[in-house]
Amino acid sequence: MSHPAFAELVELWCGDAPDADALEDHVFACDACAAAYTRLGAACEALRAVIPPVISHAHRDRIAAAGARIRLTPVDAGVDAEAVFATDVDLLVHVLKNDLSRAERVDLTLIVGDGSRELAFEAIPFDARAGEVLIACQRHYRYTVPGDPRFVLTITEGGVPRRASYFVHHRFPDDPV
Amino acid sequence: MRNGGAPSDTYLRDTTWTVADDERELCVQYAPRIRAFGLRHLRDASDADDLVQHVLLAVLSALRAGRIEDPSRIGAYVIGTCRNAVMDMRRGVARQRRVAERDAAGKALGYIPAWDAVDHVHVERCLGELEARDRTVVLSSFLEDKDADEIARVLETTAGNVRVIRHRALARLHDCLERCA
Repeated sequence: MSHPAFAELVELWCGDAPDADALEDHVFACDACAAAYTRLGAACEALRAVIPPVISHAHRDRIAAAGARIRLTPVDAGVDAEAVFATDVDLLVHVLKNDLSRAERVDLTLIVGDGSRELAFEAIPFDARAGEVLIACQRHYRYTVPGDPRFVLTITEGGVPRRASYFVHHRFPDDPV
Repeated sequence: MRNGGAPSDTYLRDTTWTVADDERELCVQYAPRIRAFGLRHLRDASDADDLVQHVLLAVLSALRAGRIEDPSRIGAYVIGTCRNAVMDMRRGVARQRRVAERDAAGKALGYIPAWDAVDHVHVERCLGELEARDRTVVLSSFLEDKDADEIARVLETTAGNVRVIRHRALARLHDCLERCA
């Protein structure tokens, strides 16, 4: 077997490789491919452990089951909310509320506090029945994403998009008031 | 020992080489790929670490007992042992065996290199540098365990296109992580 391309190793890691056994046989016999396989594996392991800014309800449940202390903050569109990152909290989850019962797709734009950067997330997970999108806010965002971000949902129903904007003021107990 | 070459090849050529050196090199060479195999098949870091321990002990025992007929094909022996061990672990057999092996594990454990974990802040930063669609495909694949067909339906594209986006996005992410490291 010839050395697999990077794309084939990605397919192997994603469970899509048509001949996974042959690929792994090769990887175990070839030092160069083994190095690529293990480096990619380290990246995949890290990806599986990451908590992205928008999470599914199932992901929230997995994080809670692992022992994380989560504080939920319900947030309505157009109404400013406040979330306190107390010392006994590991993760803030902002629950963006809206009528999603007819939503086909929801996209998110996260606008950082000073407006200098926007981060787009396409086709994000949402709970249509509960009418909720979950935003996961980690303590270190205080330093990596300074300022209070604005969240804009684009909710597509019957092919027609509508927008809803949310704002959460974050407070840390050790902040000067 | 390179490209799956047997430790005993080196041992025969170099009289200063000891069996302990041979075994250490085997562990250093194969532990990372056994762990990666474990992560891929068991999807749990501590189970993958257990797999490394179990497989290396089994392979070293086989080498010492002369049960590996063709040492030049040690890689094939290692992966065969990995596959059997993963099947056992899924059946819950290996967990009981590992308790009994714990005391015997000391020597192999000493040979296993420390893992270089990827910093999660670096991963977040590199995810942030991806295009929105690339990020969606990567997160859906790895956090939501969606396959290419499912992602394609949501993004209104083809599964083939999702696979292309996925491997290009991972290549970019990989490069970014290397830069961060």
